[in-house]
Amino acid sequence: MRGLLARRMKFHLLGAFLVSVGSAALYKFGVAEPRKRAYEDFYRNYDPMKDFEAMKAAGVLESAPPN
Amino acid sequence: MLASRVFSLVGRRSISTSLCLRAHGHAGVVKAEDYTLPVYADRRDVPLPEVAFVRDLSAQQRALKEKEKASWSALSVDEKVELYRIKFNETYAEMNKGTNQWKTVLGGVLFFLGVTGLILIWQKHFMYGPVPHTFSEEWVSAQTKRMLDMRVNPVQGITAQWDFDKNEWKK
Repeated sequence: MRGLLARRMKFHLLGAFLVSVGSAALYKFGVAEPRKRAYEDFYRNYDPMKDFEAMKAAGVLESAPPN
Repeated sequence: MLASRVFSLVGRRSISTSLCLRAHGHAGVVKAEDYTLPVYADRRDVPLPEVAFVRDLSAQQRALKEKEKASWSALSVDEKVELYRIKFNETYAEMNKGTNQWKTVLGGVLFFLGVTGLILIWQKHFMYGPVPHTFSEEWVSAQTKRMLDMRVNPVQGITAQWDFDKNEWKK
């Protein structure tokens, strides 16, 4: 009958710590890092002028028609 | 006029009639109502409630209480259990025991979700009109082509899934 609150508190403090640190780590390595890498990879060899010419040729720019 | 009538009520000290009668019967001492006395409650965080569980002891139980005043090693196991049951309603084990209520709750939730689904099916079939023309196959493919031409979300989104060299979706 002794230490009922202490035991419960120890269990829940440890659990809360693990859950919060775990979910932060999961987000960092599941979402944040892949996203950073995706942006790095995209912009490493990005040529905006080539992209612009492609969009112009497709006809989506009102002030820059295809011909 | 109304104020003076209130004063006369105060003068007569009008309280609940039943309490008044009881007060007069016991020479000024009012019997304590049940709801004013401390109550027994089975709670995990209150191990020793304010009163014993059994309030009015039978003759047998009163005899047992007398025996309790002597040495406890003279009590048999059954008598000790009886004394426990006089004092407490449920043991901690009984109090903490789970129920099967969650099955009822889950069943009820799923049932009503099902009913809602049936209502939605009925609505789609009998009530709603046709969907806008912008949802047709041709419109959606022309729309997607325009999004790819504009390079919408090129890093992680839709344009990132399109292979421009082979003119198809990336595998």
